[in-house]
Amino acid sequence: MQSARKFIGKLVIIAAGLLLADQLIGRWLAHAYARITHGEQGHITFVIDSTTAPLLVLGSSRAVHQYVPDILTDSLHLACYNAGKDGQGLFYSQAIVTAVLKRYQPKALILDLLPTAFAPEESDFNQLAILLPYYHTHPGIASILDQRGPWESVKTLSYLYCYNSLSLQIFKRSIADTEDDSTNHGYNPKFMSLPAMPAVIRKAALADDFSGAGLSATPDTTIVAAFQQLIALASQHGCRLAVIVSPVYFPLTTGSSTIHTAADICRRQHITFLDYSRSPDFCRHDSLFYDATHLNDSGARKFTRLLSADLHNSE
Amino acid sequence: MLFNSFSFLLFFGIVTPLYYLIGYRWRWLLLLIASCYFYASFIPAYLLVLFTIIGIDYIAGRCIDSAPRKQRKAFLVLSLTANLGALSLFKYYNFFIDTFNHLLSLAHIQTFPFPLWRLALPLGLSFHTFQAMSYTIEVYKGRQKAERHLGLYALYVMFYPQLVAGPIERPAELLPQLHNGQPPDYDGIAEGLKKMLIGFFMKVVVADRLGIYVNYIYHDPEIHSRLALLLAVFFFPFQIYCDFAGYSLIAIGAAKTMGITLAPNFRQPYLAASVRDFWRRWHMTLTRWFRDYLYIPMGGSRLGTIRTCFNLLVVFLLSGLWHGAAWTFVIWGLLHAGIVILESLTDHWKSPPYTFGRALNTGRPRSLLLPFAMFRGLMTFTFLCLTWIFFRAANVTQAVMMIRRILSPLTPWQRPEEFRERVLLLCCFMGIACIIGADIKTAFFGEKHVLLDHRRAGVRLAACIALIVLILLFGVFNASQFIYFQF
Repeated sequence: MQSARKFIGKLVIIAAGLLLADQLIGRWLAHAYARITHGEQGHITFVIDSTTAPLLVLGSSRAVHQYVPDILTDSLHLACYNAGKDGQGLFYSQAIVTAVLKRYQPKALILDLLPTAFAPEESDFNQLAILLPYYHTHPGIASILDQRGPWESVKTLSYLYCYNSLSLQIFKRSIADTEDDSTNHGYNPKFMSLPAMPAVIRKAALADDFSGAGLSATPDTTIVAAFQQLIALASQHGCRLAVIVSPVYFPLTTGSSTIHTAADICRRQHITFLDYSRSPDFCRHDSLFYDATHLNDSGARKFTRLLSADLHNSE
Repeated sequence: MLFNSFSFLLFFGIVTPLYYLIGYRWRWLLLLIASCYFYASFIPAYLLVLFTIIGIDYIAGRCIDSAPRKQRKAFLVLSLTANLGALSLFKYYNFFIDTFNHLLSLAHIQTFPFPLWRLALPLGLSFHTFQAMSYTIEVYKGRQKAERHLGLYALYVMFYPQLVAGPIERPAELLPQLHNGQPPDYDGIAEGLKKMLIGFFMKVVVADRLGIYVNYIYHDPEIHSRLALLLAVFFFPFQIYCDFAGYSLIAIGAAKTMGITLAPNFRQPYLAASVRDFWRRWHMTLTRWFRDYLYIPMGGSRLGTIRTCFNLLVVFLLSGLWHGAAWTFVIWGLLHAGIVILESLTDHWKSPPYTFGRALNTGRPRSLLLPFAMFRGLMTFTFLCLTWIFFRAANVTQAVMMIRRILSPLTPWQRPEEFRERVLLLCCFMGIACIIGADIKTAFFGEKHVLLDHRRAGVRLAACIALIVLILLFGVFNASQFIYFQF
C-alpha cells in the first residue's frame, strides 16, 4: 500500500519524464520535418516557406488536379505554383494565404471554390491537422488552427501532439527523402478517363457528385467569414484574386447556395468570379473527366487554357 | 464528451480528486452531478428520457419490495414496459415501420406510409435500460433489496464511466460500492490509471487507425480489389475489439480510480476455440445478462434438444437486434445462433481437452493438442470475420456484394492505388500485432503486464511514459466516436 506522498511523487516523475520526452522527441521531429523536401509534407513546407511564384492556385483536390501551372504561366506570363491540397477546404487556403503573405506578395491568387464549400459539413477543422507542424513557427496558421477546438492552444504545447501520426513518415523521409510524387509545380494530373474505366468503377466514380443537401444548405457563417477574410487579406496586400468554380460532370443547373453567396460577395468586393459548373464545354464530356468532380489531364489542360483566356479577357 | 477527447481528460482530472476531497456523505452527489454533466454534453434533452426511466424503475423497485406477492409482478411488468417501451420507441420504431411500409409496397397495398420517428437515438440507451431492468428483475427475484436512496439509485444507472457503453452492471455488484465511501487506495488508483492508458492506446492508436482503412474500403466496396476487401474484413474484427475493449478498459479504469470495481467485459475473444467460447469472452456483461434474464428463464438447455436450439435462436436473434435495428444485425445474430446451435449439437463428438482455451489455460500445451486447438481457433476467427461483414456493412446488399466480390475470381486481386498509404498499413499491422501479442501473453502468463507491473518502480514509470508517448505519437485524434455508442 503506497502513501499519498509516494503516489504524487510518482505522478510528478511521470509528468517530468513526459515533458522531457516531449521536448527531446518533439524537437527532433521538428528538425527532421523541416528538412523534408518531397511528398505531401515537402509540398506544404515548400508552399508555406519557399515558393515565390507570383501566381498561386489555392483550393482542394479540385485545384490540385485541374489547374496546370505551365499553361497559366505561359498565357498569363506569371510563374505559377499550384498550392492546392487534397481533402482540404477554405480554412486551409486561408491558412496558406496568411502564411505566404507574411513572407512575400504574390501578384495574383486563384481560389478554386467547391460548389458546396460553404455547406456546414465543410466546416470540419479536423482536416487542418496536417498544418499542426507549423503551429509554433507560423503565428498566422496558429490562429486558424486554434479554431479546431477550445483546447487547441493547450494541446499544441506538446510537440508530440503537433507531429502526431507523422512520426513514421518523418522517420522514413529522414532516411530517404526521395521523389515519390509526380507533381508538376504542385499540379497532380489524373490520366484515366471515364470511358477507359471498367463499368463498376465508372459507376462509383460518378456516384460521388455534388448533388444532395450540401448544394442547398444554408451557408455556414464561419466558412463564409473565412472566405471574406481571405478576400480582405488579398486586397490588403494588393493581390488580385479570382474565385473559380471549376467544371463538374453533372451540370449544376440551379447553382448552389455556395455559388450564389460567393458570387454575391465577389460582386460587392469587385473580385473576379467565374463559374464553370454549367459549362457545356465540359459537363457530361466523358473523355474529360476522371470522376464526377475531377477533370482528368486532358480536361484539366482544356480547362486551364479556357480559364487563362477568360482571366486575360477579364483584365 | 467522448473518452478520447481532451475535455474528458479535464473532466476526469477535476472529478476524481474532488471525489476524494469531499466528505463520504456527498460523494454520490458529486458523481451524480458529474454523470449528468457527462451525459448532457452529448444531447442535454435526453437527460429527460433517462430521468423518466430512473423515476419509473425506482418507484417500481420500491413497490415490488413492499407489495404483496401477487402485485409484485404488475410492478415488474410496469418497469420492463417502460424500459422496453423507450427502447422500442427510440431504437426499433423506425426499423419496424420501415419494414412494414416496405412490405405494404411489395404487396401493392395502396395506403399512406406510416410516418417515421425523426429523433436521434439517446446515447447508450440499450446499455442503461438493460442495467435498469437488471435492477428491477433482481428486486423481483428477491436477490436485491430495493434501493431507498433515489440519488444512489440514479447513480447506479448513470455512473458516468459506464453510462453510455457499459459494462452492464448488476445491482448487487455496483450499488454496495456506491454506498461505501472508501479512503483513497493509491495502488487501486494507479491500477485504474494504467487500465485507462491501455484503453486509450487500444482506442486511439489501434482502433481509430484501423478505422481509417476500414471506412475507406467499406465506403465503396464495389470498386475495391479482393486483397483490399480481405484486408478490411481482417482489420474490422480488431477495430471493433480495440474500440469496445478500449472503451471498457477506460471505463473500468476510471471507476477503479474512485475505488469502484466494474465487471470485466473482454477476455482475449479472438483466442476463442469456438463461437460459444467467443461469447464467453466477448462483451461478457451482455452475454451474462442474456443468459441470466432470458436464456435460463426460457428453460436454458434443460428442456431437450429442440427447445435448447429454439432458446439459443431467440437469444442470439435478440442479441443481434440489441446491437442495432437493421437487418444486417439480425443476420449477424442468426449466423451466430446457427453456429452455436451446431456446436451444441455436436458437443458429444469432441472430447473436452481439444479446445484452444484449455490448451492455453493448462499452460503446458501438449505437442499435438496445441496445433489442433490453433486450427479450431483459426476456423472460429474466420467465421467471426465473415459475420463481422454483416455487422459493419451499411446494408445486407452491401455485405452480400462484398462476400461475392471476395469469392469471385473475376474480381481483380489488387490495385496499386489501394496500397499507396503504406505507413497507414504498417501502423495497422503493428497495432494488430501488439494486440494479438498482448492477448497471447495474457492467456499464457496472466493479467500482469511485463513492464507496467514490473517489480522495479523505475521500469514501471518508464513504461507509463513510453505508453503515453506512443499514444501521442501514433494516436488518431479526430474525436471519432466509439462504435458501440450507437447502440
